[in-house]
Amino acid sequence: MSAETPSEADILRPVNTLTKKWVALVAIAGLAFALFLVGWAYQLQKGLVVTGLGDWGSGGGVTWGVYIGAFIWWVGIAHGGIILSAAVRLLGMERYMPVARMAELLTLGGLSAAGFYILVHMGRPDRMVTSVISHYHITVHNSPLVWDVTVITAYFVLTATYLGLTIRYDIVRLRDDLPDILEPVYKILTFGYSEAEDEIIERMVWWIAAAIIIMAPLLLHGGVIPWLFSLLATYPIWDGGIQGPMFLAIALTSAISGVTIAAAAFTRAYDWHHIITRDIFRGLLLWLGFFSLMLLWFQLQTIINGVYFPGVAALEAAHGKLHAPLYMVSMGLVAGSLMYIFAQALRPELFTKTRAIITAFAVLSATLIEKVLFVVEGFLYVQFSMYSGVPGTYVPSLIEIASILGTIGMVALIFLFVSKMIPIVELHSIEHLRGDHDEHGSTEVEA
Amino acid sequence: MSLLAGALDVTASAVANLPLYHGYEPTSGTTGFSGPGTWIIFGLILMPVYVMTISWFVGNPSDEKTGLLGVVYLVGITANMWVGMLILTVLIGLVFYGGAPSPLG
Repeated sequence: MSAETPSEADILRPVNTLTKKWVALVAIAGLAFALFLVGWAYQLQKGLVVTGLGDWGSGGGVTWGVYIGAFIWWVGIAHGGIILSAAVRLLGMERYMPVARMAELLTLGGLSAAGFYILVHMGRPDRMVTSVISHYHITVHNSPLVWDVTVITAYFVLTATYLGLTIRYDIVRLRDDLPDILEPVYKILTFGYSEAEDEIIERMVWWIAAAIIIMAPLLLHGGVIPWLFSLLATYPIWDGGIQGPMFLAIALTSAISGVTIAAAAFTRAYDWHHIITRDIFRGLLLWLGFFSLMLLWFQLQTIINGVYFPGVAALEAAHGKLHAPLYMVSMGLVAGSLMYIFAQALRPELFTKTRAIITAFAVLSATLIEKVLFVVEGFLYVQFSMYSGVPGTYVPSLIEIASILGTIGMVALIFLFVSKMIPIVELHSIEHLRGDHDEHGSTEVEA
Repeated sequence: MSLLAGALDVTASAVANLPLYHGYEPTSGTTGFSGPGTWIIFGLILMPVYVMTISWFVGNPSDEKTGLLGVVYLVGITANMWVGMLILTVLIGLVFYGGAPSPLG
């Protein structure tokens, strides 16, 4: 760990420099996103049928595939990201303060990707807004899909408000060193600012964090999102209250992995080793281990309930799950990661940042595979064999595969461009690292 | 058809409906305020948001102007999000489906 003192210049470096690597990354991420947009334009022209998802009569009856699997994956990353950020503010986890804003951005990027997937999966996306709004007063009574639209809106708004209110402090203090060309943006972001508001805003964001820390784990990713599936009793893979904690565990593993990768990329690009220290990466890895353990535990519950004297449908579902090679790959990646995390906990010399990043990639791949399989197998193993006469099996189309790369490119672009506009590490965090405030840190306020 | 004949026709149809029409309504039991989703979403799930917003205005330190600024953020971002999506979906309608979506087009 470097003994160098963190400074304002450090966190302003992404805003005030333009490197070839940044341009190259924008080009790669832009290309991935553009490739998917070409595929989506083709899909819009010809219909959802080009993916096979628009047709109940083929693909083994699977009409939700990669699009919905990746939708839940992104929502999970998003929810987990903001839980991490809220925990920093509420639970005294100041150690992770330097990655809190990245976690917030991951939430906004993840929710944008998830919302985009809903649009992409619709047969007539042009009708989405008009039909949701004009029928809302009817559909909200009974449709978990409409509950989902409501809570995702609430969540995006809460996170953006959280980021919007916390950024005011940073922009006002760093304004002289921020690019003049973005003056109109900074004016909007600091609208009506007065120094007297600082203390009040701190208290307000504490309350946003409090709302988030209750809503995200218990009511959204452990509530409304799994209810989209778990309330459908005729789909044994989806059915059951275990889906709440299961979804939450998967969300948290995915988000910690996402934050690890983003933090590693920024640390390497801007030489932030003294801000986002090795200690932070190790801490994130240990949390990843804890939630990976939870994930495997919940999977074990599902499997045991499905194989030990189950009902007919549950047996078929568990059997199908256990015989899917990709399921084994997914669980193997999580189990392997967990073994490494245990090993490095016992022998700290086994920890390296590179290994932590590889573990993060392994877990993110595992959760994406698990989510897609969860959605697809839901349709493959249903009560009453509804789709037994439907020919074929589900194979993701090229456009669906491109959608994963495209949305990753889209979220990467959000990070790359936002990092050119605002400090991606909170000013509070370097003040805290320098000891500018009292020992409890400046963010702790009276509730 | 005269007015009288029309009235008789409507009456006869109404009388026949009494024993013959099954009486099911496609949205019966799902419309009108309030259903289970209303309670779950607005009564339970969004409760932390209500508590948060009230707390912006009561307790110390707080002031009305900064609290309202927070409310402007909440309302402004919600509007921005949905108006942005409306514009995008109308554009999709114009480019790919020959016009703006109903009831706009």
